[in-house]
Amino acid sequence: MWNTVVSHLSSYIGWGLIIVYYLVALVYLFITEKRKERRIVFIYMPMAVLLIFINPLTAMAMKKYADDEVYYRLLWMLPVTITIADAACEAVIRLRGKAKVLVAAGMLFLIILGGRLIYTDDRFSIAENEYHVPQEVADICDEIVIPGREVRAAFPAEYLVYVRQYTALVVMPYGWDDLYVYGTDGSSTHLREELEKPTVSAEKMATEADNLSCHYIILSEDKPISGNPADYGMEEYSHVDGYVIYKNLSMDFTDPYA
Amino acid sequence: MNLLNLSFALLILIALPIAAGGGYIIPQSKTLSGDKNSIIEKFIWSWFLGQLLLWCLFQPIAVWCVLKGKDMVTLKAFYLIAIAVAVGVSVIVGTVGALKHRGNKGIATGDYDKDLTDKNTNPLKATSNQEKSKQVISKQEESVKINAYRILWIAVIILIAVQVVLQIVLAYMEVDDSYYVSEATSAVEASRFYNTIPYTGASTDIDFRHGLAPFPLWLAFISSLTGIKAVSIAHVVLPAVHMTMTYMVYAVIGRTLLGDKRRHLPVYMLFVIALNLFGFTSYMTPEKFFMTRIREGKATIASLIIPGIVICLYMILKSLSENKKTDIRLYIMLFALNMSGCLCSTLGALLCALPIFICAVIGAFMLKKVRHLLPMAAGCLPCLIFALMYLKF
Repeated sequence: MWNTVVSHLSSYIGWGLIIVYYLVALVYLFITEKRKERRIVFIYMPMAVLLIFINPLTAMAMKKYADDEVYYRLLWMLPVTITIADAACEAVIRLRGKAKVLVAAGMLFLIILGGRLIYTDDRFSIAENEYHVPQEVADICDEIVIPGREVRAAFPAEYLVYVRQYTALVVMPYGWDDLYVYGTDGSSTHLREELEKPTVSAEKMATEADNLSCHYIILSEDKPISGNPADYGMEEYSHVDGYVIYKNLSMDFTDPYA
Repeated sequence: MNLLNLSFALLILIALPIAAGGGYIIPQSKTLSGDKNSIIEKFIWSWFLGQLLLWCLFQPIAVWCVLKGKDMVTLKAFYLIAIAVAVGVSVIVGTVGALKHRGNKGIATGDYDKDLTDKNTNPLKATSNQEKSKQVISKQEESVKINAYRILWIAVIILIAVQVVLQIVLAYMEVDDSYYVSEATSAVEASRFYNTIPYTGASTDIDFRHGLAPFPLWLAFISSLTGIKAVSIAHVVLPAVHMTMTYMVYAVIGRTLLGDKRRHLPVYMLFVIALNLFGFTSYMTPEKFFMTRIREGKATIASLIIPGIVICLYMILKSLSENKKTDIRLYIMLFALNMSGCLCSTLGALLCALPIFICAVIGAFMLKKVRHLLPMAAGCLPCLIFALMYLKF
């Protein structure tokens, strides 16, 4: 359990100095702050939270009753931002003249130096549309959706995260996490494995689409296919944003509003 | 998403909470932090308290709908009635407050400028020429200071505005969205609450663990009411609005903590902004969640609810420490914060109740007062109930 505590603590602290600044702020407040309500909320409460966090019994209880993956979230109870800002401000207020400006600027510089700009995270990208999902996902979904009913479609792995955010009318034989497979025997993984092969077999693709009641299969236009999908009941339905949409003709496409 | 839909969404996310919380704050003589004059602070407190009260009402209705397998129509109908009641109560409380404080015109446009000017430096009160000249110089210096703080305020507003714009123009890839946002989309488009696997759409038993903290259903409610797709509400509208709200809440927190030195508030805000902007020291910090995933309940609890609890506890303990009567609105807010915490995350029950428990116990010893223990315990009641439900399921 001690390993869990240490691992979560080190992962939480990460590569910056913000937690060090927080501890410095705590010590500063501990020395300078006389008001009881402030000492309780900004010094004693966080210390108690830290003691609770580093207690292996807490980690054990979390593992039993919740999920030990979220153990680090106990540290969210520490008012890090409020405390550092408050302590820094209190320190600045005590100064006069130019020293005030210099110290404030110096502390801001230290924060910048000790942290890391949020926008350097490479998971940020310029939004392609008002939904913040890849435009290909929106276009393909719009192409295959039948209002008022669900259709099942197998998407390339890179879009699995986005499809169901965009529309609930498209269901999928497999999601982004392989653990969540559709069907009773995990057979959807066969389709995914087939579609991820360097060359897709048209026959196997059609067979798996039938087995999983899949209305559509979406493949990159660059993906080599051995055999002609049309021979196995997979019609080349449409081309959208560099992807081919294959329609499984053995499925029912009744439009409830027609 | 057209302008009409967007305006409607902003009405629901901004005007409605202000209507639901405004009655407790705006016509009353003081804000929650005890400030008499600031209309801006009153509006921020109203917005925050109103949003908490609306979440507080949403949580039991949504959980009931999840457990009973109800649909979106039922959820909307019950919640709209609850909103109407909340706004009605707020109007009544506000009217009573306004009548009570009629004639007490304490509302002004802000008093930090006033703080800067020492009454004794008023040249009109000076008796000798030398004193007059000293006081004129002093007034000029103060004027320079006022301008410096105004420049800092402009910097703060620009920095916040840039971050809000970036929330809109930058997309952030987060795999957890394929659960939470998909759940909201599923609720709107298929009227299914936690009985599908969100990643695929396959039917399954009700997911009680997540269903007890149905924050995505609140996104779904806004989406359903406005006609904007849930994915846009989650990725564009809500982050922009909540980021603004969170920074405003930080501003009133700073103002409360700084007390009579509140003219330094822009400096405080610059520190807060810097800590959030450069808070990417790991993927686990509240600052990282706030800047990238505020659409998720757990980010809301980390960036908005817990700071709210901290300042609420501070204000309660301050009034006890000063032997003043504790404002009952603080206990109402504490209760609403706890219920909102349960809406945001299943871990919310622990994250909200534990700081309150610790502060209540230490406060009882240090301040030698126990009268706050009962209302504080009452404030934690939602956490206790939902924690027990969580353990049961």
